[in-house]
Amino acid sequence: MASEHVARIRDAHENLARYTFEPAPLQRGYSNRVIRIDVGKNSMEILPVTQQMKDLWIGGKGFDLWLMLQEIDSGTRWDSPENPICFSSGPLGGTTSFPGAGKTLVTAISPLTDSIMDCNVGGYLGPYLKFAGFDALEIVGKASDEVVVVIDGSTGEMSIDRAPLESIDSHLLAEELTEMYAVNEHDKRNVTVVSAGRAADHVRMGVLNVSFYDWRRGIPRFKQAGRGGVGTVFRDKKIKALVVKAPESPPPWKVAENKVASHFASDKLDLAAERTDREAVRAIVRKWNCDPEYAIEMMQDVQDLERCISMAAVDEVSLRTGVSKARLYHIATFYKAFSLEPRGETIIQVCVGTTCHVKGAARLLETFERELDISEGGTTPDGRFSLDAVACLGCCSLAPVVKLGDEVIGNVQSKQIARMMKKQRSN
Amino acid sequence: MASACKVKAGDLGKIADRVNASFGRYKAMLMVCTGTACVSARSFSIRDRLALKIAEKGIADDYLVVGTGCNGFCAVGPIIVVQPEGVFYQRVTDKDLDEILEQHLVGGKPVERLLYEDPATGKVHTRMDEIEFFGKQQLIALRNKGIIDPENIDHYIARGGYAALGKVLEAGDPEAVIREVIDSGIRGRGGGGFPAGIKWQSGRRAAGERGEVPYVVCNADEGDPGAYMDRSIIETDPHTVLEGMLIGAFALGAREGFIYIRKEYPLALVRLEKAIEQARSYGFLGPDVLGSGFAFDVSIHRGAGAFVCGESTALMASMSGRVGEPRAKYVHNVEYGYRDRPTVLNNVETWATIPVIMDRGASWFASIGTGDVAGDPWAGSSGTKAFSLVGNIANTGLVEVPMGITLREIIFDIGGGIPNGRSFKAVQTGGPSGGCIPASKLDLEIDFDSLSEAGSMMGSGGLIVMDDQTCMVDVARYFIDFLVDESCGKCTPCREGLFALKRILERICRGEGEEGDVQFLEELCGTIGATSLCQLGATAVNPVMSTLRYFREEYEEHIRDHRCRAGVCKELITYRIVADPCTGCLACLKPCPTQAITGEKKKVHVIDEEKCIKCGICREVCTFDAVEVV
Ligand SMILES: Cc1cc2nc3c(=O)[nH]c(=O)nc-3n(C[C@H](O)[C@H](O)[C@H](O)COP(=O)(O)O)c2cc1C
Ligand code: SF4
Ligand code: FES
Ligand code: FES
Repeated sequence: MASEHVARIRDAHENLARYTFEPAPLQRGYSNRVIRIDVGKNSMEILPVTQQMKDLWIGGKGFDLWLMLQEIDSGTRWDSPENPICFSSGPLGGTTSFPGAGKTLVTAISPLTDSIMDCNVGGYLGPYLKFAGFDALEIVGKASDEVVVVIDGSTGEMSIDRAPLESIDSHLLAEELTEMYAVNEHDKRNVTVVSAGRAADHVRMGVLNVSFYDWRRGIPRFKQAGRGGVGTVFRDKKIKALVVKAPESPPPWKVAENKVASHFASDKLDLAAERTDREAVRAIVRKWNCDPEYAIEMMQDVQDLERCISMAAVDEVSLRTGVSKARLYHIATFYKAFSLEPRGETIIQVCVGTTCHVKGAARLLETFERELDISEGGTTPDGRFSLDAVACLGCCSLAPVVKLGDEVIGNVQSKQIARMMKKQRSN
Repeated sequence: MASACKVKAGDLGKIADRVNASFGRYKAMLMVCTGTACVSARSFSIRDRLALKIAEKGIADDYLVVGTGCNGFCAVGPIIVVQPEGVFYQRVTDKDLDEILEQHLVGGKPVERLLYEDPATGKVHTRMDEIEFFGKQQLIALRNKGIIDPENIDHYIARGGYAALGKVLEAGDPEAVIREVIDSGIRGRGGGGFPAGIKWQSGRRAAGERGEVPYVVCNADEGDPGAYMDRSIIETDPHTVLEGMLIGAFALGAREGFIYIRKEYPLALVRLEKAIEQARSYGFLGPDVLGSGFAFDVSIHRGAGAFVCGESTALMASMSGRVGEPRAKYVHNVEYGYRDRPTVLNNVETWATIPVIMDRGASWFASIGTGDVAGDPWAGSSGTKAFSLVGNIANTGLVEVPMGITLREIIFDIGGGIPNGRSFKAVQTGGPSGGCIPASKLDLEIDFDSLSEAGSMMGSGGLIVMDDQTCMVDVARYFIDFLVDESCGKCTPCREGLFALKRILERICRGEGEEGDVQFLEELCGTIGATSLCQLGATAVNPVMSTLRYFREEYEEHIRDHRCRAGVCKELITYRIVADPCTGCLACLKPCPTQAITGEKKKVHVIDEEKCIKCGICREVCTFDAVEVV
């Protein structure tokens, strides 16, 4: 898919080093590996993360500082080859559980203060590194020619290439490299490019630009690691760019076993995502002409089809309508019609609208809860029935009203419920 | 249905004549109600079987079966009305069809046992217009209920449908339409009661000033629990809504219209879609409406179950594919509404009334109802209003009555009073934004302003009648509970304030109320009412305020005496079997889910209070009224 321009600059690459690595499973937020790259020696080394490191330094800035401690001594200056640039996100990096959990912490000796500085940056660099199998990355040494460093989690390859033709300016460079390392348009989301730009060659306060692909606008955009001039160090090592690519699907992991978390992120969600018929979801989106104004209608159809709004479905709708996933999740949790977990085959709706309430709907609901042994909003373990309390089914003249699947039943009495459910179960 | 050729204004009369002539050839038409309530009692099957049986008998040329929308008297459905005599059959089942066929259609004698018997007087009524329920009604928005097939546009045209549109397009004067609507005094039927004509005027002005094409929108969200007028109007007569929107669009210069309807109303949705399709094929919607050069079309947006989406700004957010959160209204929708264009939003019933106003004239409409609206629509409430009359009342169903009728007339004359020998306690109007009106106000002449003065609201038109077994504290708790769920959460007074109300009310219902709670409730209500962002929060306190105003002693009883006089609040009641009426029949023993009842045959049974979970099943199964709540 690469354009002529990108093909030409790629062909000009000369490989200086190539290594392969195995993917690492994530255990409680750690892949338990650090990658150390020396662009002066064109070498790469995988170091273990020890329990002591985790206990004392946790991750992020802590890991960075620990790694620096191994590399530098009192004589190390900002432009010494030994000055390492370290990148790390913490054990929560790449989860969506907390604000800021996507941040990457960067450290080096600063050209401005000549002492250790740290800065942090958004985008997906730290998480992608982690998905590729590394809790932290350090780069030492100085290259003799302009190089591009690539860590590709999708193929398990790491390489250092002499790269003479790439642009220096970040906004061009990120576009070129995103295109070069993505296999298709969709895959561009998995690529992040770190670069410093031309100014860093001339001033001491150069920043690092960390790209993330904005697939709605169809361009890479940037976050900056700005403090202390880490971009200047990057250019001093003659690195044009660092490219990190995440594997297509991030390895699953749990931060910790926790009652609340398992309630909100139960296994059912994963199952639902696996079961999703993506083609059917795409057909729904097409039916509504991919029009974002009809996002709610699309999700209603998805809910009808899958009995839930799965992560995969949100992905598809988002990709094809350009509506952000955040907004789709906002919709999915705002409106009553949607559920993130699969609902039962038959939905039992007990009307608790005003008329039905006056006519004793609360007691009906309790009887159903007892009969099905689930509480309102729940689904039976066998997945057959879900029980909902709804406000008004529009048949108030028949109050109290219950809807079993599509069937509306009026003037219901508690004493009928046991029989009603027996009939349903035998169906 | 006729061909898909485009109809011109002059052809409407011809279509009507043709359809009416074809109806005239039948000896009788059997109107089978296929509204949602009757459908739940299998009226689709009744309609189809009846048609089949008539065909089998070879009398299909003499009798026509028509599936209509809601007849209104849902309590006694499924309903068949034999026109033109108007014989009214109720609670019809598949098994009764042969009898109707043989005895009535062939034999000419109505089937006595299916006729309606007035429970109060014991009189049997043969014809629909003899029944008290229909007596005081005056039908405008619901003029075609039970008379036409909602899925057949020809039926609507035969009843004079789209003639008003033809007239308006022929006259070609949008300003005159707006003047007519203002003069009619019609106020919005969706709750707020804002004069429709004035809204249109502002919309037209804003569109003109900014040089933008405005939109018209129909609010069919109907989230108000206990109300189903809008659903019924669409199910019985979807074309009148379309015609109203067409007239409004012409007056405003709009080219696109939207209908926002709840997905929970599947039947209404299907009928609406069909109606739009048919109107398009006749050329009533499309690039050249009735050959006049005026272009207009309608699309549907489905709601996803959020009460707040009935609020105008939230509705427009939802139509844009976002969550339904309201915004502050210092910028009006008529200026910046849907897609930031001038937008006129009206309720289903408002749109459904417009064609009649254009047809019969503003002064005719203004003459119905209260006040003199000739010079100022705010001076009164003209026309009629549809209500869903439900709850503890003998005749439940849908009624349309002139404004200014008293509650007593609606509840006791039309509604037939309170059944089961109980007495009237209150009537709830206006849904979660409204309040409860006590017996002392039964002679209130209802219109927009009188209801507000009484501490309630017109709302969309739910009238929920409550008997003395209804606990007013529990009703207040119920509404606040509903609203806590429905609050969009954008602003603090509503999100947190309602939650605080809920906690106090729940405490009172559990018998844990404290001195000072009532005063605190009042104070809190004042703050929430004054500071909420949208009307949901601002009016949410009405159920509490109105019950505090009229039923304060019940709050005090709950708090001071831990007593719920209606026998509703579970923590304050016990179930007991009274020795005298109990025959020892054993009927209640088995259904009791906790085996709390013990007893032997022919001996008085006893409930073990420890085990009793107060589910009330024993009371339901007892045929001797031996279970009492104290
Ligand atoms: C919380 C809330 C819910 C509402 N729900 C509805 C509704 O379900 N149907 C409706 O027609 N109007 C509803 N309204 C009123 C609308 O905001 C709006 O005033 C009305 O649709 C305008 O039409 P009208 O002027 O013809 O009444 C609601 C208002 C609020 C504040
Ligand atoms: S009053 Fe309630 S519903 Fe309205 S904006 Fe505030 S929180 Fe939302
Ligand atoms: S309140 Fe239950 S159907 Fe309307
Ligand atoms: S649905 Fe048949 S009378 Fe209302």
